[in-house]
Amino acid sequence: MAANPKSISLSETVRFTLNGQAIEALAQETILQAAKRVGIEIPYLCYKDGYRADGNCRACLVEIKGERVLAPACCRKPSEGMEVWSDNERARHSQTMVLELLLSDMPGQGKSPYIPRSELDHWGRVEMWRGSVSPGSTVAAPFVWRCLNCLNMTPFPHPAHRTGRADFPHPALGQVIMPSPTAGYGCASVGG
Amino acid sequence: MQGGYKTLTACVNGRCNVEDVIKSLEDSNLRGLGGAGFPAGRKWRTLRQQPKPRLVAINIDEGEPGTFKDRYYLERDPHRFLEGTLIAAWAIEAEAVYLYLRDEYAGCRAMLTQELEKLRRDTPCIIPPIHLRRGAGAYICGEESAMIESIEGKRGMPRLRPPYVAQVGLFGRPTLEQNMETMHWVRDILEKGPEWFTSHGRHGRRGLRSFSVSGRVRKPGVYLAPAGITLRELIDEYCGGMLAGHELYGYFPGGASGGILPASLGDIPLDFDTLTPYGCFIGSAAIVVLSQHDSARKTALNAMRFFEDESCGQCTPCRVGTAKAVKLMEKATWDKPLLEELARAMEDASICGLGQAAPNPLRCAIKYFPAEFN
Repeated sequence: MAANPKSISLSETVRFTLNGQAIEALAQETILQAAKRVGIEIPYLCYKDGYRADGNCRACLVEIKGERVLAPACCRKPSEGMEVWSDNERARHSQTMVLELLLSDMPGQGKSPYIPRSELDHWGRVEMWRGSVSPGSTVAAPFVWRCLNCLNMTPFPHPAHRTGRADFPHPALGQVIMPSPTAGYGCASVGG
Repeated sequence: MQGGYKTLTACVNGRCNVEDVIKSLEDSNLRGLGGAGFPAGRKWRTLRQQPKPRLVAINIDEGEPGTFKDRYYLERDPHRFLEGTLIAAWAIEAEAVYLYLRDEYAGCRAMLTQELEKLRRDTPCIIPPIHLRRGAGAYICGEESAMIESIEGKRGMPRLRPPYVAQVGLFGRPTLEQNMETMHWVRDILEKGPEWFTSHGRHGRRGLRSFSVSGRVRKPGVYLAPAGITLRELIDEYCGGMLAGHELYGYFPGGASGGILPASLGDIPLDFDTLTPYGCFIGSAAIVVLSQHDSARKTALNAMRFFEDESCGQCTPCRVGTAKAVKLMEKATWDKPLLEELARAMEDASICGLGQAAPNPLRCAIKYFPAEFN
């Protein structure tokens, strides 16, 4: 029976930086796995531990120095000396836009009706939390929630919901988006 | 079979060496003519460093709107590109060749099937097996890795890079994938020398480009012109000028995905790299000429609808982004900051060139045709 290794030799690890922080990753580890291990939060949706990473949802995009486009953290393995950012303006822009695009197609525009503990809702909540606790910080630009159909913009957290509401406050709490009996759900402000 | 596969026979029978052939391609600066413009010689050299068995895959999907140069050469001289392809297969020591032909080219398929049969019956020298595969009408299958998925019998969806197709391509093997027209020029470059190819060119650019010109010109068609020619020169010298009653208003320099340029930029050299500062690219050199009777705003919306239709749906920024962009562009007033935010995420976050390039016409319409938004 193989014994658990007491230590992992240096040659089996790679050193890279994530958001300026030096990280030592296992050779087979992805950027996302390494980030989770050291407690750096990167949103992700289509990835699940133990399953093949596909990199399709694009919520976990990170910027890798020297690369033309962003890369999915769930699929990329760090290489020695790689410089990665998951929290700079460029990476955050794409991460939040992906979440926003997906949420904007939810019937409740911002809350998934399909499962009680949806990952999409979770990350939407995290984005809003980031925006609320650290306004103007470099970590997260205040997250702007909006209806991409009617273009009503609702910066979140909406002033009305700033105080300790644990629940996920979706745009104007049903005032903007309302069910339409004829065409499923639409935007009340444009008569959806 | 004019030319009789003499160059191929010389290669296969050991009268040419691989290094000289690749050097000639490098010296000619022949670039991938499907749109990406990757230097062909460098690609062949990379392939030779990959483990065997290796494969060759030729892209004749020609789906970029406004592009018809591959069909033009295929219909007139199929054996020229076949010889180039077989030289490539020889140079990288490939086991087999796959041709991926768009199914809309039904006439070409009948002809190519016949010509391949002739070649098999009367081989000029030892050649690898050549498989002809049919596309099924998806724009995305012109993307090199989606084409490979399609040949493998899967749904045509792009793969994530790395690994690159040159490392892990068709059936998991290192694969040399090239556009058909790129292979069309191999024979001439080897027979006439790389200087012949580089002796052409204008405004500091070198080589030849096959422009597929359509739109408001007197004589639309495929024109072989020097690289770096400007749009106005192309229209005046090759296309017989503009149609009567039409004045140049703008143009798509590279199909639907290459962006839209205004008439005021009709004098910039058309080639790989030269359009980058303007937010455009030449791609497969499909020039669509617009006149005062056209609207950049409407054509940009038309292009975005095309991308929405053709998005494979794999990644969010492209699948949802193109759909949202269409909705926003259908409105009487464009929300430009919001469209720019969306465009930026599509360009940065999409898996393949479809989503990355989809915002080009939209951005160009805003940037170069402000009068249409007043």
